[in-house]
Amino acid sequence: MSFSVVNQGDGQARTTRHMLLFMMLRASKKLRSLFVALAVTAIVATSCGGSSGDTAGAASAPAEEADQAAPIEEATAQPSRVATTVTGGQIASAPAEEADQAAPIEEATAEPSRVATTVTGGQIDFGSFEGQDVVLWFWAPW
Amino acid sequence: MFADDVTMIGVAGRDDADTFQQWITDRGVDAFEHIADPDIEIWREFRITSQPSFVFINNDGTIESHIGPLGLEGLTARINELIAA
Repeated sequence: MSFSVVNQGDGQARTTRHMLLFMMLRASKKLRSLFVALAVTAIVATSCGGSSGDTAGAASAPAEEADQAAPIEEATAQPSRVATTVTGGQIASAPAEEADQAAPIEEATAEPSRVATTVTGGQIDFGSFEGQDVVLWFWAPW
Repeated sequence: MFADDVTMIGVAGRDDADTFQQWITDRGVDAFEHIADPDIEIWREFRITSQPSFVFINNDGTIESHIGPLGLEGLTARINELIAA
């Protein structure tokens, strides 16, 4: 279990830059009926053994993302900054480093249809989330 | 309780798709979609510096991020705020 359930301080940070990306999240509400309640519980506890295989809304087309990644990857190829999470340290995205990354990232995200690949090989179009409340949970299997 | 109000999406980073899928199955978090982000490109777009982290995108376009874990209560509270806002 690599997941802590300890409540942490609020490290939220509003960023107007993300508005760019969000503009692409505006669209239909096709994924609105996902089982988020289940999800929340599972995320926090990560103890349920269930595996219903219900992955709604995934398209079957493979990804074609590689070309979008290049500028971002180069700009941010730095050592991982993961250490503080375990103790819940609030990493307010380092200003100095972020400044350098800002330009290429914004260009990369300011595309009409930002499509991401799911773990099952489907695709998620960020543009399909317009007008919705969306929670992104960033995790890694370690 | 939030099924019709919030779209939850996982963004799995720093590994390959097979490992992601195995982890999802093991943890039983397959009730919603997970984006495979092996090179953490999407992480970087949202300035995610560690995991777990959460990004809350309101239906008015406002985006807030939380770097670090949230307990069940914390996450529930944030989702309720998101729905109410």
